[in-house]
Amino acid sequence: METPKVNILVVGRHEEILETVLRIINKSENWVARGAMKDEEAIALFDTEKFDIVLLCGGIQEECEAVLRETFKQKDPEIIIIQHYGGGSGLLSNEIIHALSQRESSKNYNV
Amino acid sequence: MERKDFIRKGLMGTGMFVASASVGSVIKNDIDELKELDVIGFNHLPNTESKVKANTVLHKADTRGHANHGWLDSHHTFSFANYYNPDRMHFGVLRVLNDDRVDGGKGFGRHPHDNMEIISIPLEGDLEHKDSMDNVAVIKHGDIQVMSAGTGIFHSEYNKNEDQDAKFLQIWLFPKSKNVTPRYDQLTLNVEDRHNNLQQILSPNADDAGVWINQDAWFHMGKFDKDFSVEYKLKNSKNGVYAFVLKGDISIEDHALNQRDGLGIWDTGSIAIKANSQDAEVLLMEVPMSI
Repeated sequence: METPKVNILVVGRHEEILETVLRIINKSENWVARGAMKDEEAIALFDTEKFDIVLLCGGIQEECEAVLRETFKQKDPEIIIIQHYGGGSGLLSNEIIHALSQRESSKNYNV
Repeated sequence: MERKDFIRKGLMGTGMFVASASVGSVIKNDIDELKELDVIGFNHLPNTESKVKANTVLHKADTRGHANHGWLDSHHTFSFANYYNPDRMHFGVLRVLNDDRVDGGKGFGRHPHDNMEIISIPLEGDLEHKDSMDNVAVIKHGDIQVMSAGTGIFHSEYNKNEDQDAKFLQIWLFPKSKNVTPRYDQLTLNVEDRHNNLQQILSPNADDAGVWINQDAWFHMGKFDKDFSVEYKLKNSKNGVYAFVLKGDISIEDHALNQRDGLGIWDTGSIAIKANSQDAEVLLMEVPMSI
């Protein structure tokens, strides 16, 4: 049976950077990403799809970030929300792999 | 120290590509399109020589991640790109320490960054920098370059010379504040000032020696005669300091370090440094330990 891909919602304010991040993630065999520049779009997407990770890119103001984090956590307490640093370059895959491995460790720990 | 005048030509987008050192190499974004590499060598093997004590971490040179892309040969002290080691994620706000060699005429095509303080220190050869703030400049040995990526910046870095490798350190620090206005700066340092001395090359303060960044960090470089010793006093005792040996052999406290070894120390007010070989060179990076 085919393993489902890790579904990632990327929120960012910089169009070109958002496109770059989406392109990099979607090149991976195991990950798939959708993006939103506006908070309402992001929340609407979150309501229609099951995501494993929300990746917050640069440019999101503190207040908006707090609202997004709270909203996503309320809708899905299991959701992993990570801050992406660096803008789509060398840290992206590290951040996703690290978050997924921490989630696995925490699941094992809870067992 | 003399601040360089940047040549601002308004080169953006396609124009910037065409003006780059090697047109054939810039059609695609070399960073994003880097091929997946198999993990090679010792990347994920335990470092038996690591001395992780209460307040130190030792990274021997040959335990670093290694990726050879042909035109780019890079050693990663911390996890980066295809190299992932959960024990090597960062030292405080120091997230990336890449030791790069770039073939003549090749380089990193136009690519984005945000929310990161990016410092480049050329060790050999010349790098040509272009960015979305219209900066066009060349940096060489003795220079230091800093970019506060903030809300977003695009840049390219190419080996200016077709017939000579360029070697440089690429250092990324998490920013003190997110979403700042992007900024570029570079500075030519007098390398003589670091002979038997710790020369400050970076700080958080615009009016202090060296370049400044959006983080409470201080960098120093030193080049020492054999047996020369010096004490480095931390600016903030809550910070840690990461020493990276550029050349030769040195000791820091009880740790004997060789070329390209790294040692992080925290919970201390000062460190004692001694050169064990002639012309030993070291880079000290004092950084906050919490992100």
